[in-house]
Amino acid sequence: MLGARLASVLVAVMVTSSLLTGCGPVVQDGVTLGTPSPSRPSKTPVAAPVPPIAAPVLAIGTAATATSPRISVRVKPGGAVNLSLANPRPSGAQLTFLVVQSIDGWVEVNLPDRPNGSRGWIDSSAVSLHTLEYDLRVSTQQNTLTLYRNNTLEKTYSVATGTGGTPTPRGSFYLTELLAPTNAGYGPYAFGLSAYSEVLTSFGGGPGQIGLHGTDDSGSIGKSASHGCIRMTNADITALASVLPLGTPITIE
Amino acid sequence: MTTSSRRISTSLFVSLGLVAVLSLTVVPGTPSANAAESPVGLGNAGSFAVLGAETVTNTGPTIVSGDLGVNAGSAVTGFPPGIVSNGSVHITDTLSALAQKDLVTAYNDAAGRAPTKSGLVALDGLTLTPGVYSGGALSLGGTLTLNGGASDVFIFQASSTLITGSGSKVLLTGGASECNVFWQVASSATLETGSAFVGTVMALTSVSAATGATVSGRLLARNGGVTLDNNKIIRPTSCSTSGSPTPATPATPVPGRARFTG
Repeated sequence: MLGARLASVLVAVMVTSSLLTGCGPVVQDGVTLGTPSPSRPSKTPVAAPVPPIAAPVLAIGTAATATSPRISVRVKPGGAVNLSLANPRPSGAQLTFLVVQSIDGWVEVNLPDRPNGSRGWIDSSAVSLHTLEYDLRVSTQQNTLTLYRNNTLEKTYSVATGTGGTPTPRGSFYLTELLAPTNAGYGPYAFGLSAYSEVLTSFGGGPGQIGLHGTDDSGSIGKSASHGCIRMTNADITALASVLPLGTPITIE
Repeated sequence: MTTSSRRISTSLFVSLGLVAVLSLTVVPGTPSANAAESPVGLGNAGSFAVLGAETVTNTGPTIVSGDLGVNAGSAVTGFPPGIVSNGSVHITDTLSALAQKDLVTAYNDAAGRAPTKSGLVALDGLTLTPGVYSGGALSLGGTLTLNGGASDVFIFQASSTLITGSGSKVLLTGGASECNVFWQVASSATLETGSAFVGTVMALTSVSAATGATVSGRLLARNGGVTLDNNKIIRPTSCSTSGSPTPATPATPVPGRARFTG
């Protein structure tokens, strides 16, 4: 019993250390350097399995899940509240953030709404924290989406991204919700992103939010053909929907 | 009595005495004997070091680290000379309303937990392991030791008052965290002069901290006020409702109409 508890404490210490010391965003003197993009994989091969008590947890980042019906967002730790977000989101998904950094009981998070790249501070006791191991990278030039797990390339998928007139916005975002669409055109699953069209302020009754979803137009895959969303084959989005948590980072280049 | 029977009686007496002494000081509530309690989720109340319903009244250079607020009332007095740091003052605003609402949820959660041990009165000299401890009017005149790990949870349920005497102390050992110590008080809580207190007090009525009392935690009053006097109220940081981060799990799809750009 004592050994099991000691093991859990050691793992918790290692996870916490990795969160605070650079496996997630780089923070120096309280200032975030760059956006929460994971580093490229090193040339060191993936380690062979090791005993759980010693296994390093290569956290790509941390998701913060709201635990109360409304979350107050502030401009700075302990500062004025400038935003109040409902949980769950309008889609019905649990309100989730991607953590940028944490300081003295506050977490700075990427926000799920406009404008793109917006951030705010929330009290750390208002959320539960979860380590992430997957991240996604999208190339709008090559129309590909690559899945990484613990900084190791897992698979590259062919996708459709936005046209010149309705481009997919570039930057660092995260997955905010997962729907099983009841309407046609989005395939069996559709992730919402924290990214919003820089051209369309509304679409289909929504606020111009970018999605990652399946499609009934398989001919568009591999092309710049969408209204900004990232389209995958229905088989591919189904595979991603089975493994990806909310909060998963997605970088669009 | 023969010599052998006297030895048996003596050894039995000593054994019984040892058991009695141990039972008075170490109250079982070990994780191996009970399912581990989860922390009480405070929601928006978590950012507050001091939260009252009607009033917050202060005397002297009290330091409050965390938010300070009232909801439904408008009286926050004594700041300055009191200081609020690492937080803001919220007087019947959106956040204080949300915090009071979440305080009610947290209070009811704590009150509804199944006790590990009931019938407690005086907490003096006890060393407690993680669990839920229930009593009527709880008092502390000396030192209460809470022994556990960083993620272990201690919940106290007082069906009446909580009163800590002058110079009393709540001591954390073994890595136990003030993040995970909760006091549900069905009446009012009083921390007397020089009390060194730990944990989040959730009082149905009011809370008062006498001269020099220090709190590593929170003083939250549902219906009454909070009275302060030359105190230090430091809300714990690095607290998460889930304790240490746990691995994220695949998202659960929600059926519904997609409205993305397509």
